[in-house]
Amino acid sequence: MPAKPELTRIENDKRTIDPDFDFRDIAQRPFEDITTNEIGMFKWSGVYHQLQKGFFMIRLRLPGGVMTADQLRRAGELANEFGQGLLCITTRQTLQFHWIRKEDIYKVIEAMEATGVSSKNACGDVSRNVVTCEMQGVCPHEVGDVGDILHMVADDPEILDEQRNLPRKHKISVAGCGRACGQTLMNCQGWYPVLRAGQDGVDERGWRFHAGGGLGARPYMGKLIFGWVPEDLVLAVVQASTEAFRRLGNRRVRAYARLKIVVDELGAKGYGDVVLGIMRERNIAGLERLEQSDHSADVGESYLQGQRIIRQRQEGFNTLRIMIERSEFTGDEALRFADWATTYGNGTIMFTNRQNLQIRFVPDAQVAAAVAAIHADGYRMDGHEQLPDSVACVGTTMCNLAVSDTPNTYRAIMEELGNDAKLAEVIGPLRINMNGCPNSCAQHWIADIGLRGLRKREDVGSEDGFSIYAGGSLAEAGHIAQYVCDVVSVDVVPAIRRMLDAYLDNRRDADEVFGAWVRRIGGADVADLIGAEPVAADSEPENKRNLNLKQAFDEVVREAVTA
Amino acid sequence: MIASLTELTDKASELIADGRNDEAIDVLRSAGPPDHPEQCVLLSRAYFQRGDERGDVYSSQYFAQRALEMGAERPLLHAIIAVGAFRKGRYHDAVGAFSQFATERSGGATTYLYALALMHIGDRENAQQWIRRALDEDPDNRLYRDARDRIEKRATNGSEADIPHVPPTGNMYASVIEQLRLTDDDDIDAPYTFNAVSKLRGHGMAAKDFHWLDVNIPCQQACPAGTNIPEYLASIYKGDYDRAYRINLWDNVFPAVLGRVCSRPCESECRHGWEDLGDPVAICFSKRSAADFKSEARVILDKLYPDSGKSVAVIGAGVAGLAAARNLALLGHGVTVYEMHAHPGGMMNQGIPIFRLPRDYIDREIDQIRALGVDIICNTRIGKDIAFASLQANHDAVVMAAGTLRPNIIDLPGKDLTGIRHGLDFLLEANDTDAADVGENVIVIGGGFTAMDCARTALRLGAETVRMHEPGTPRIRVAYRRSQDEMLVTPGEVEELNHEGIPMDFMVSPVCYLGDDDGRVTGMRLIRTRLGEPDASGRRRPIEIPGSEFEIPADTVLLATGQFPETSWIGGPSAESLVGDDQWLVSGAAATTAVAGVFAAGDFATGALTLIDAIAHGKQCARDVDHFLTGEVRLIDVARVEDAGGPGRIREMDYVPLQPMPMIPLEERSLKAEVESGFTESLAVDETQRCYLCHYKYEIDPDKCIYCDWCIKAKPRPDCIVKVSSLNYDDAGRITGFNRAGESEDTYLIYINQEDCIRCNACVEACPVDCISVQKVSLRTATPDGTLCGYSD
Ligand SMILES: Cc1cc2nc3c(=O)[nH]c(=O)nc-3n(C[C@H](O)[C@H](O)[C@H](O)COP(=O)(O)OP(=O)(O)OC[C@H]3O[C@@H](n4cnc5c(N)ncnc54)[C@H](O)[C@@H]3O)c2cc1C
Ligand code: SF4
Ligand code: SF4
Ligand code: SF4
Ligand code: SF4
Ligand code: SF4
Repeated sequence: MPAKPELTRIENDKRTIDPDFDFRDIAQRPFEDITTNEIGMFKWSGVYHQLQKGFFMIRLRLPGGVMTADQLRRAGELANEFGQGLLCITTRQTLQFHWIRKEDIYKVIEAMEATGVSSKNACGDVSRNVVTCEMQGVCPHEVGDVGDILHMVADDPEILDEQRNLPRKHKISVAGCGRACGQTLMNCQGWYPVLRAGQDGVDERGWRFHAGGGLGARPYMGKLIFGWVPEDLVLAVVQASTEAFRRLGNRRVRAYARLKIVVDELGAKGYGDVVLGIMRERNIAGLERLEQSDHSADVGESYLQGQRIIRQRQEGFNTLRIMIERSEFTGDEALRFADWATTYGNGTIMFTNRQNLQIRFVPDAQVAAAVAAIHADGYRMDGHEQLPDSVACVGTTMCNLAVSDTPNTYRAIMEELGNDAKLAEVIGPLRINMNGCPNSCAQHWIADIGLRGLRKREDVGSEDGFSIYAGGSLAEAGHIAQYVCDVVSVDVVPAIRRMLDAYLDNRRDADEVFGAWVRRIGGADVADLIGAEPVAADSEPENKRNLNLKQAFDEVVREAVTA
Repeated sequence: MIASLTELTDKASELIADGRNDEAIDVLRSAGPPDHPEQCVLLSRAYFQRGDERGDVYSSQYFAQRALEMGAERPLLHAIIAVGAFRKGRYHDAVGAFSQFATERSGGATTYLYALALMHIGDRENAQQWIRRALDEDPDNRLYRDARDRIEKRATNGSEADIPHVPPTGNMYASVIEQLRLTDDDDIDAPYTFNAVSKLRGHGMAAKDFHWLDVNIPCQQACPAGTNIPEYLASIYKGDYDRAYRINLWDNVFPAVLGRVCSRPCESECRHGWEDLGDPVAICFSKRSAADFKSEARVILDKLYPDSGKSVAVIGAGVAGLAAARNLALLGHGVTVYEMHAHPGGMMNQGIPIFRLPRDYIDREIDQIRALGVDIICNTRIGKDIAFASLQANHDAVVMAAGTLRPNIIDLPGKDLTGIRHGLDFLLEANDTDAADVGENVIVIGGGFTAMDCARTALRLGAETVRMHEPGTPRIRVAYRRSQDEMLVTPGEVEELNHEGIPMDFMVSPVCYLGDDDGRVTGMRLIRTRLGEPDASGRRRPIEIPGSEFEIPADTVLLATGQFPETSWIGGPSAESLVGDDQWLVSGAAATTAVAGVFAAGDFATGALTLIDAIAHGKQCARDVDHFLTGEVRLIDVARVEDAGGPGRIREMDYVPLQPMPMIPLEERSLKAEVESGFTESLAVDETQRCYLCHYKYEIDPDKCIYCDWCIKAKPRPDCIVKVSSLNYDDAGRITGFNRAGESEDTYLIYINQEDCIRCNACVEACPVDCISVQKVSLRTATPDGTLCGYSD
């Protein structure tokens, strides 16, 4: 008999290790006695072992990205006390702590829980933090208010407590309308509401259900599965689709374990049939009201195009968009933001998928004062969805998957391009996202310019660099960024400059934004436009300096110690 | 807290001084969240010392920065930040940090790096000053002098980062290799010297290609006939017994025979038997199942060339002669085989007992050769019935494949007693007549194939004809001069001997025969030996131990002490040129001899070896004869490179244990009952799935690889994927080794070291950019126009 596949280690762990750890007990146990399998399962509680042995990251679960000022204050205090004063906004609209010692994990988790924020299911093979669009709750375009649906999905006991052994992570987005701000097409399940005329002439709200989006190393855009899901069936579809993933996902090879692979293999119709089958199995009534779709997804352009202050649909109130450099802020800053939210707004803060934050419900009369305070403390509100709003993953600093040093490149881009207000103005919307590795933590596949870490083989050895992609977008049926070229890290900025110059020289007119231009001419032509010039002669051997200079490096530090 | 903190930092400082960085970090962390400047200073230092691992550089910088924020002020912190910034090419930051601590009295390394950083930001004047300070301290330092020269040459304006060197991107959409592969061409040269084989697709014939086959498919390399083992095992696994049989038929001519009695040199080399990988695959028994379960009763190969009109005489219908005959027939020549025995087959049926090799199988496989037009004339002894010279006169070429029929007589006192006979005669008699008188007690001298078969045959004859032995006392024993490790027999035979209750005396040497007054042998005197130093051949000669003599009774003594080629029958004018004084061929083991048109094949040329050696030699002989007859090379070896999906295995197959061969119970064993009953179809699947399929080649496309290391994280073997700084080549372009990269900057290639690869596919599944190709590389025979011989892909 041919040998049968056995459970992989992680699949076995998922069946045998209870993911709800008692972190007080963990605090007591010697580090050596905690198995790597157990540490792996910490993720189900939002706890991730850092690259630096013995230090942990804790990620919170924050459905819809909104936090109260009190919660943020507490997070700031905890960061100061236990986590090097560091907080980080994630692309899934939540916060994470770093540098937490094993002994302090429970302190952070319990203290946050006391404020009503849990870290359960923030990581692991579960449905992750349910995201929404940045303006959900206040957006003039929102179709009604989708907050109830969002929380119903996020807090559903089946999703939260029962479906904790999925083949891999599972991501759900519930957007306020059919525009791209909600990232509908890059989530495993992407939902947005639509209106249509009901029987009694009153508009009825229903939902479009998309599935199978996902970035990672192999990006897929979500497909439209159901063109119409009556609101009362949304939860049942969410549950059935999650169950479909549980059953059909590939549990042998993690790279292929995501829902995107299942949907890609079955096609939209096939996947819809599977979901319907499960709903039938569950005796869900009213399936005839559900409409499968054979159209491709159709998402509008994002509403967010560089606004600093957005007038809310709530008359007289405003949302202030504050840019957070490289997604990190300190515990002290957290206290400051919390103060602003209470002083100027209604005491809530929204974290965005470009890793910035919003102060909401600032009355018209308070806007000037709030803006003045924000600027006085050195934060910028301009440049959103433009050059200064670049997104970078943690890269080689914290992540053991990284190939290239994204923070370093981020800084280079910011210093050389990000502060050039004139440039930003002529270029217009330009989202640069960069990843240190082929994963897509910083979502390079859907950016106007996406960088992905690599090493480039040289005549001798190899050098840290990036592949450049361009023209990604989540609008229409979605566009995965196209490959342009590979460059070593020091050439990233010159290469981007050339791309921007080429864009300005070649765009149809000022209305053709960068992304549209790339999509029109294609990545190959962009490469030709920027790669025409010969390689500069003086390519410095210094980047292999670490080979020749390793000793000198150590020596410098030794000299400094004895000095 | 502060007191204990001091204790901890003291402890950590000590550990750091000892280079025990991880322990230092653990100690520092145990003091509480690192919120004290001293803790951060030491963490920074520890991470710095820890090295280049991802995260370390960052952590050292991070904690240095934290320490500064917390008010610690120390040159060390700035130094760590300066070095970190320098390493990342952030020279402005580096200069800033150096300026915080470097002074005129700083050490050479500090002033030197400071100078370099200044150079990079275009501040030549200051750079010159600082490098001068470094040189003051160490005027002969080569690094410092180089730096000085570079600073002198350097333009004064602009920093490094302003010089763009974006590479031309014309060919970046698909890598060089991908572009080549995209073409329809079925013959594509590999573009890089570091490619594992010389072709991306097609027939490789470079030295590196055959080298690849040798080191990567160890079983095939060990098989003298070069049998395409992985491919036939894969076919058996898929249930395609016909194809598996054809592969074997082409490569080794007698699959059903070899599937039973091959000496299996392949198995001892099998990758699955390497350290930590379990037991070798049962290659031989699997081969047998292909023969057992194939659907076609008779498989006749297609001829490769039309009739040549030439005729070849082959002397001896053993495996060597028959293998040569078959291939000559395939090449279009007329072949007549002369055999002195009544049946063709040589030692297959004259020596090997029926209980190991039922005769039907021999007949059927010989029949397949006859069907190609090979004429086998039995009962005709060359040198007696037909003169050697007349063969030479009537044929275009003659192949001598007469085996080794001259017994090695050991010259001991009493050798003329009755009851002492040569093992080969005994076996021939037993095989031909199913009977032979052995008496009650039998001693077999020797430790090779013949000895094993003599003992097991004698046991069976005794059981059937004598039936009088006293229970409990061994009637048959085998005496051998060397140790068990040094026996040249089929694996498992010694175990079978034990199982059948035949004891072996190892490390004993015969002294003399003992006899009675009637001139019959009654026993033997033997002496114990120990092993001396290894001789030139690497084998250790036995040395007698004085005073250790002992006697055993015997009615029959069977001598299995080896045999040599019998050359005396070669008469006529050629004999003198062909045969030396020692009665061996003067041409040694070669297939060509001292006389044009006369060739030698098998044991006759090489001395007594094994079936598969003889077959391989016969095949080679056929090529030499063909070259003689046609003046052309009409068969070539190629390394066929073809695209393939994955091998279609799962990792669990690697953990399936070796399947034992089913055997008939002792009480059913007889002269004719085959002992090994063969795998069932399901056992054949169980076993063949174990094969790693070493002919699959995993190779990274270096232009697509982004060096993310994901494959390295997924790999199951210590060295199957390595980061290399360079590869080693020999003059013929063969890849002979690799040099590991030290730091990441040093990494030139992420390299699949195929020798250590167990073809598990894990890297392919892990690679995010799909840059690992899987191809099949097979040793195939082809005609010069590239047509493959023997079996389809
Ligand atoms: C008892 C025994 C058991 C063995 N068991 C194994 C085993 O299990 N596995 C293994 O791999 N090897 C085994 N061997 C070795 C193997 O049989 C030989 O290596 C192999 O048969 C050699 O093949 P060959 O064609 O060169 O010679 P042979 O098989 O010896 O054939 C030579 C042929 O030439 C004929 N001949 C000789 N002189 C003349 C002449 N003048 N005119 C016409 N015909 C002539 C002979 O009759 C014979 O048929 C065994 C050998 C013996 C003796
Ligand atoms: S326009 Fe964007 S932010 Fe507003 S509701 Fe629609 S998706 Fe949400
Ligand atoms: S994108 Fe890659 S390098 Fe960056 S954080 Fe994610 S996994 Fe790490
Ligand atoms: S694993 Fe298979 S191919 Fe590899 S050496 Fe063993 S039998 Fe040969
Ligand atoms: S297939 Fe890849 S991972 Fe598996 S052993 Fe070979 S090189 Fe290693
Ligand atoms: S996984 Fe692929 S890209 Fe990454 S190092 Fe291995 S071969 Fe290269």
